[in-house]
Amino acid sequence: QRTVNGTVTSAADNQPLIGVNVYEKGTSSGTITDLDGNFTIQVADENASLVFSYVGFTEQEVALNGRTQIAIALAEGVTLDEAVVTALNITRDEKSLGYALQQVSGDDVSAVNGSNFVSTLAGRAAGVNVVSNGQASGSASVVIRGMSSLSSNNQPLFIVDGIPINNETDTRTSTNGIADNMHLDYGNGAAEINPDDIASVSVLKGANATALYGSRAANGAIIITTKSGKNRKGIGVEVSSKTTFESMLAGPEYQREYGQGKNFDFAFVDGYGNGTFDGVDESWGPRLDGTLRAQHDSPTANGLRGGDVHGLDFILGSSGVDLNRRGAIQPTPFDDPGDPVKNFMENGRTLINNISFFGSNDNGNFRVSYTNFDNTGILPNTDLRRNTVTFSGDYDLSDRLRVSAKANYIRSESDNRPVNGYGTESVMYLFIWWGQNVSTESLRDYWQRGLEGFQQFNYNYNYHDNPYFTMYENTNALSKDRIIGNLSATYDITDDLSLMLRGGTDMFSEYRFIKRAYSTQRFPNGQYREDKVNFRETNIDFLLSYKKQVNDDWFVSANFGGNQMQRKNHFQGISANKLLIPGVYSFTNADGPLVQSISRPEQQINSLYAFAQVGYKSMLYLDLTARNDWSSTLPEANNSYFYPSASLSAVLTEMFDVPSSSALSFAKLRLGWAQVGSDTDPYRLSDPFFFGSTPWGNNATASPSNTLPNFDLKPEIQTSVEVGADLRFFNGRIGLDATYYNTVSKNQILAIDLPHSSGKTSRVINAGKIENQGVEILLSLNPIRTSSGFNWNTMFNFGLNRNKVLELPDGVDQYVYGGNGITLVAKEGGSLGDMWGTGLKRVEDPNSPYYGEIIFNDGLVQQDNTLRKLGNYNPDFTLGWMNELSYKNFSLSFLFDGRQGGELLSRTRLIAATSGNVVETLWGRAPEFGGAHPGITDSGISYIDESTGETKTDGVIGDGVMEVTDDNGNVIGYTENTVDKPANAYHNNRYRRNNESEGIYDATFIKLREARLSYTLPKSVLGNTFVNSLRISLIGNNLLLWAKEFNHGDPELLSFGGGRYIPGVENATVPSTRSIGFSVNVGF
Amino acid sequence: CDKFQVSNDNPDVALSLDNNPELLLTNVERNSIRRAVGDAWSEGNLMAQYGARIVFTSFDLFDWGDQSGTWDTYYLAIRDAQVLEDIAVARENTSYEGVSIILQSWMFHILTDMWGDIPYTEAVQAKSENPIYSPAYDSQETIYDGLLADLKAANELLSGSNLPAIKGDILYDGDLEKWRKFANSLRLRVALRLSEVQPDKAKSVIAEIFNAPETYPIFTSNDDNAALQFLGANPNAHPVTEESVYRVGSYNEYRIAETLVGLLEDFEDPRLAFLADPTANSVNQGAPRIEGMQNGIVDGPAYEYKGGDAFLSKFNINYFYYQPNTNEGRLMVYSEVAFILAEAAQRGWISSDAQMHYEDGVRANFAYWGVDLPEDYLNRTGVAYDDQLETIINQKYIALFYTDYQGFNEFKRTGFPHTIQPGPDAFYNTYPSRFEYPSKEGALNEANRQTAIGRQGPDEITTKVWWEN
Repeated sequence: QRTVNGTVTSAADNQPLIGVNVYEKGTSSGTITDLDGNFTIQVADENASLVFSYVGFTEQEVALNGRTQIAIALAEGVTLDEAVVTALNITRDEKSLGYALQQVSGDDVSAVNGSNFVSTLAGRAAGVNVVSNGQASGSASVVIRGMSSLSSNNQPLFIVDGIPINNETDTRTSTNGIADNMHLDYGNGAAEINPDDIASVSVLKGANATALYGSRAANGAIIITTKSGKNRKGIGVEVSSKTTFESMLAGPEYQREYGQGKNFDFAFVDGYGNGTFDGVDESWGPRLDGTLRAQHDSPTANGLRGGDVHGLDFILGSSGVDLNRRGAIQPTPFDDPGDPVKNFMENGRTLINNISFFGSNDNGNFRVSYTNFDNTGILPNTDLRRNTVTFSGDYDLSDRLRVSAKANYIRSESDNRPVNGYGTESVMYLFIWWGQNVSTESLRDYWQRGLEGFQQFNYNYNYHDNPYFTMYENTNALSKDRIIGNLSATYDITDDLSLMLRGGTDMFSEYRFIKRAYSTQRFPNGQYREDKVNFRETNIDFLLSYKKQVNDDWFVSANFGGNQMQRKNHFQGISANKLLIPGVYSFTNADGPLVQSISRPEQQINSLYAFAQVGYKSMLYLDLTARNDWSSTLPEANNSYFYPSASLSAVLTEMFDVPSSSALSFAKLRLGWAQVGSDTDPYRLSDPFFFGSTPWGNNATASPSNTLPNFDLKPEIQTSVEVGADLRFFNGRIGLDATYYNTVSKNQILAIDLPHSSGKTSRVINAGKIENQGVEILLSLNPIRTSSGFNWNTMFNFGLNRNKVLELPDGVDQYVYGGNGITLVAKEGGSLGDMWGTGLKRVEDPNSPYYGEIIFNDGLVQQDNTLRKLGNYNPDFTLGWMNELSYKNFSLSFLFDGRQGGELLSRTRLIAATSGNVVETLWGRAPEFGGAHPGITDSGISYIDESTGETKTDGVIGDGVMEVTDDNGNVIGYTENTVDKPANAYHNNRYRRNNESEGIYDATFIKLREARLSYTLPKSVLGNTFVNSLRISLIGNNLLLWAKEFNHGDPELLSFGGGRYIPGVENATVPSTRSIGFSVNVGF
Repeated sequence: CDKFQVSNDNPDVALSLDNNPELLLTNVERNSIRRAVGDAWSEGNLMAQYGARIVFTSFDLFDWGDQSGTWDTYYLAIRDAQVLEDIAVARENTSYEGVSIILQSWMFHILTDMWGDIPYTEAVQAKSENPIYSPAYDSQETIYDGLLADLKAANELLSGSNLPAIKGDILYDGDLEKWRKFANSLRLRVALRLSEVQPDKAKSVIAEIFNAPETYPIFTSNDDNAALQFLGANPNAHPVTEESVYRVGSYNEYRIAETLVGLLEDFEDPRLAFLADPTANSVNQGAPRIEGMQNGIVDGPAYEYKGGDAFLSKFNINYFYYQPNTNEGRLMVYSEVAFILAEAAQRGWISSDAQMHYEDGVRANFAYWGVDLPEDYLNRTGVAYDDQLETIINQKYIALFYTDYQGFNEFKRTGFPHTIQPGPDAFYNTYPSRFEYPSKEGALNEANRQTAIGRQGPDEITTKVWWEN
């Protein structure tokens, strides 16, 4: 070991350069220059080489040749030979690529988020739309360049070290015949790849980039390269530790003025409706003014609570209440306990600790890492724990033979995963209803006294489960073991020709344990369910590569490869829907027959492919690919399909000899054309009978399939064209990368609807044509770089996608491909993401002065059940703004991310407006909220209700018109609505849940997605300690949200279904989180 | 490369049920009867004003929607039954064939009564050799003729002496004589519906059956009832019970209707005390009484009616909700047959004693619910037989409680009980007649739907079906 000192200056002006990266070649030992451009570095020996790199300057490598003092002048310039990882994990110079590819460094994906690297792509990669909930253990969903398929999930293919992995969340459940359990977020599969082990993530967006992966990457590919021990002589150790705390980012906006009940009245007797409106789970009750009222948590004469209503004989099967046992209720103040969701949510915590050992010698390298991930969620009693061990090794067995092994073992465990969506198993559902006088704290002791284990305690027994009971008793546990790995060997047959063989697998075994306690609304006698998923995908590849630098001008490479992919995905779910004894969760405790479901799809794709590249003078590059797939899921006659691609990269600055003094430092044009074919799901070529999940006594059941198969299915074909330019100015201080693409998908494999009267519900066909075209722009700037050491890099990325349904099958004028509150309808000329729904009757005569106004009838809106387009959930465009600022040893980075346009439907708004809980429902409840409209009485404070003769102070006169009719009842005109309705009746009618038009919001938002402030300890402090590097960071994720219109949560975070977030509809989803914490990275 | 080590044949399905048709039979019976029972609770009872809602009252205001769930379930069950019939014909098994035809007729009858013209002769043929993806609609007249013929044919199929046994029959446990009685009883129901539009046909069919009891056996007691006894556990429990997914709050949204309470109170009928529970408030006050809810009040005011939910009676919660299977799934019970004969005699279609049949029907219904018939009941005002159709139909209406849409359809046919009226906030002043066609038919079978509309009238719930005219 020896110490080398030196100075780095700019060749242009001899000023010192601050923050230049200096490292010893072939190791990870490095430092940066200080304020005066000075550095000190420990090197292994006197013949070491140092590498100097700095943004906007040409990288320089210097051999020490025994020197211990060195002065370097760096020339301005731009490093264009940036190596990126492309399809098949082939590392290429970026400038040779004829298609857009964006690479994100491992540091970026692990620095702040640390839990789900997929969500870190949001705002970083143009044209990539990520939806996630910010929870450390939640799923993220990715769509690249828009939705291209009506039938598939449009998710990209995820590849780890060359091996495709499963990113699906298995959503098969054991149906129990009637009451299916609700959606659980088990996390997307790729989230299990530990960010600390990731060296880089490449986003392959278009068909040109992914052509070599074939059908499975028709929606793009995300290529993950894990870290190795390269570049470190001897053995190094790195330790990183991250601690973050999560809290709720945004939730529904409640009114805080009125509590449970109806008609401004409430008194608790038994929570079944036998008191004064105590069966009501809504907040149309009295003012929260502290008046004494009998409530569920009021003490009783017998020392119990108001809600302890059930008799002790209840255990023996009586359903009755026993008010004598409970005793008379002693009323307590009816007041405001605060926002229920904020009160209920806790602080989450995520700890991620990683240690890795790595190193290399002349023959090879290795890396071993262990990571412990430990998360508790913001919902009480939710968690996720994950232990990951990875190994990576490369070894040169001889001059010609290299072997490599990569392995990840991941064990995930959870005692409880939260339920998402609208239904009794979800606490967010409960909070859409709710009485605003109810404190969540009053429900924490969630058993009725004396009936522990048998009967929950609640504020309402008609509809709901106590939220703490839900979180602590009705748990959804998980245990999953997963292995992802591959072995490969490469043999150099000659200097130019090599053969690679590789086998890899992604396999896991997952158990899910679902418990429902006695007295659960949907499972009064409890439930126990076990789901088992056994997944295995294996890939076996060979690749024969030939590379030749023919002469100074020409470079040629040609490759021939093959792949065999086999996937088995077995599921078995068993459910006991009634338990003999409460609290014993075992099938031996089942009361009645077990319900089971099984599915075992298998699939195989065999492929042969070839690709070639011709390079001329590092100015022109031509890529050609061709691939043929054979799929087991298609009919024999059509199971082979071929698709080619071609792309061209032209470096204009080389071709036209642009003078170095010009502002333009680099210009490249890209041009590409590609096709990709896709197969279909397994088992679509027969018309079988399905067995029922449970027999009727001893009578088994079966039913014909509802889908009419198509025995002549053809593969889907996607054709895309892409053009792009990469321009850099002023020695790279300004960079502009723009791409235009157009993708047309045809022959889509669709199950189109049939009328039920035909005896089938759908029929599988090949048809349809969908176009996506869009623009992606990346603008990078280095606006400030001062001699005092201040540096600011900033990058904007912009993505715009327009989708159009060009053709639907003959005779089909619309295709419904989903819906949840709204209906997703594809029509010719329309776009995917169009949301259709119903709304209110409005004045349709464009000549009327009241055109567009709501037509009221007797003070109430009128439903118009005609479906109309209400919006489209896809954004007009997305924008990300990334910043990196550094000064001496400090660095600050932050990322803003937002979307403009697109609509969302809020089911929380619709339903919680009928339940009187959201702030919108204050309108008309009292004079100060616009009630007792001044037009009604002279006083302006109260009016006489004509139907009852009562004096009232509430009432809404809706904004709109009434019809004026002639003597025959024909509408001859309109006049302002003047009819007053009680607030409850008005809001109930206006926001009926199928008046979807009344729940539509503009989804525009901006988020401060990430921020990090780091301090790197200077070498002078570390001195000659054994610590090589030390960095401390403050980190934050999802820090701020500004939503243009939406006031009931995070407009990004929408409904949950099929194992991931589905855009378009907000539907009682667990709120997104803000996370703040710190991290420490130490290198030895 | 086109050799695969995996199979594209699903290992967990059956490709043929030729040797196991009973799996289809159980499935058809379970699915269709569950649907009929669920619909009776949430729609049929409201339409006939047996029950009324206190919250989410839009259905009670005649916002009926397109009821596509009902349409869809029945058509798929008819599809399953037809697959069963095809297997039976191929195997020359007249028993499965007859039973399948009866089940199809029962479902088609509900469908046509509720929608009018519907796909019938071309229905459920998407899978046939010449597939029909958009089946034509038949006129209701054609369908009625078809139902009468099919049920007659089913009676013949089941009349042999060496009938093959059937399995999987959860309704009659393979008792083919009872199926035969059901076929003929159902044919009486179908025929009677023609009383206003084709009285001669109604008369001849009913007379044909009544006059030849050996050839056309019908229900003669509650033992013959087509009523499914559900099992104790999900998913085979009664669908509207605690055992199924109904939350008690959802059950509590429904109350006994003023119309039914009024009728039963007029007769001081003890069945009222069986069908309904006294209000919570009246129990607390120590003076239990039953109070009905009015149909057709807008949300909000509906919840305040008579003071709120503590002041209105629920249906007998222990019988209809807390027990998983005390309440049967009624397709048709004996009392209805008695009332059909009473009406036929009263109209002079058959030579028989109308009063005897009428009183038989009343007795059978009391017996069905296990309520003791008061000694003087049959002599009470409004009950005593007076040769008036209204008297017969009022009792028939009570007996059709909670039986798919039968009470509603009989009201449509006869106008009784006359106390059934649109509620104060209802969207129409006239009582609606039918459901709108499912929106999917509009999207996927529009030309045929339009033909039906041209024949029948606008696709609105107030358009009358053929037999009402």
